Amino acid sequence: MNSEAGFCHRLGAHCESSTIAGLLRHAGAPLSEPMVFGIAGAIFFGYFDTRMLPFPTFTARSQPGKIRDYLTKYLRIEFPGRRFRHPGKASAALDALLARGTPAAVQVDFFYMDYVPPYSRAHFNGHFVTVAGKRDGVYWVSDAYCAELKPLDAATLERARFARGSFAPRGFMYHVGKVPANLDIEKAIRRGIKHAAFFMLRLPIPFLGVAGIRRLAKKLLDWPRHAVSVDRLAHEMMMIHVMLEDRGTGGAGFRYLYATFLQEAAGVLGKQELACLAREMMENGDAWRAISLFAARTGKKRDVGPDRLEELSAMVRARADAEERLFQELAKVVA
Amino acid sequence: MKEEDARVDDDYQLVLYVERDDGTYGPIQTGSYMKAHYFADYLAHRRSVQESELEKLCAGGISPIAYYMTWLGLSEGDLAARVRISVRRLRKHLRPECFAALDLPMLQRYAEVFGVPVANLFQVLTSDSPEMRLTQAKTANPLVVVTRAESFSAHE
Repeated sequence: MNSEAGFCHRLGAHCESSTIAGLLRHAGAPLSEPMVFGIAGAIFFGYFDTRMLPFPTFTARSQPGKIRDYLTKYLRIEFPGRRFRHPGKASAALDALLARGTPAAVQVDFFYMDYVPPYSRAHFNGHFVTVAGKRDGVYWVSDAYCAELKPLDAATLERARFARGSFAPRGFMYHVGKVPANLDIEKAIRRGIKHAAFFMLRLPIPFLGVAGIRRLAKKLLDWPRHAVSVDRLAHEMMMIHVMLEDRGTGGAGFRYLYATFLQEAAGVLGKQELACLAREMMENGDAWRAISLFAARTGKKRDVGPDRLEELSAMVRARADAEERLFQELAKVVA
Repeated sequence: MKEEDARVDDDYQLVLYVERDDGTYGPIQTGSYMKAHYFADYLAHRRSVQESELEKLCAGGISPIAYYMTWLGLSEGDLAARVRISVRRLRKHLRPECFAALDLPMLQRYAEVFGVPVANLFQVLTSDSPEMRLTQAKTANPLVVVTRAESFSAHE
């Protein structure tokens, strides 16, 4: 089933931007998924090695939940949203919206989405889905990672909305409110690109932005110390591929998605330089994909010795240099 | 990435953004490269982790909490936050002797995070026959599940 209460479901690359694009489409303000992602300046990089994590990891996008914030800021679209202390009140608020025919986005723990195959279920509190309707006590959920709308029982959805841990959703939900009659897309695109360039280049934190890519390149060489066995290290190497390609990134750690945004932006702004940079971003994505394939192959062969790690590290370092230059160019084009 | 390079034949579908023949960029629905090429290795790794942890569990070296924590790839800090206890207290629960003293509400909190019935914290369900499948169905009683061994053919 692909439609419920007038809401039309589509498969998407990334849960959060796809959820927002779906809600906007339903509200009569169609923005593509790459446009939502790009205007919110959601491309990013961060390398994390904390005690909260069983193994060092990285992210290639901004913090979950921020896309809505920056779309509100840059496009003046209102997304009324709130968090809850009591699950009962959260469910009642969701039901009230659905009764009015308004689909709502909710933040959930991905682990409880029981319609996904067991092997891909993992605890991650930053997942977003759209609840399109409710029939006979069952919610119909539009999840960007599924081809069709999926049923989810009320108790499971409540558990997913009130999971604890990092990025705990606390029942967070939002819907589309007021959409300005004339969206100033051009200005929003400029601000979105400036935002992304700032966060990639100027954050004075050594594990975020381009510095984060360099940190990954450096720390990769230390990964054998973190892993208890060659098997574990090989598995973590394969997880690089999963993080870059399979976890709702649109390929190459969101770089292809961002290249698509830049191409659309070049058309809107009529800037040829932006189209050239879109091509460079696509090539940059190809190089990230080469990294993910290299990591997956070495992981599969259990060929994770120092030479291979050094090779991988050099490939990642080259991406840091390329992205530093790319975002500097982007900042100049929209200055 | 060119559209033809992105095409993968697999049942696990996802969206990738690619360059089309006309030079424009856009989404395509395709199979997962990881799932198509490396899934067997991924499963083998999970199985080897599970087997080594199960050995420790059955030998009384770790508690079922430690077993599931490793199985799901959770850190101590994350699991402690999810069950709403301190890391210090969680570490005690990782030891079999402390696990035996846990009360039912605490076990329920763990079971909810692990996504298993409470009963599974005290038993290991396995099947040696590839034609047998074990299923667990919830009941109205949150403490009781119905476990069934069902036979199925490989063609199903």
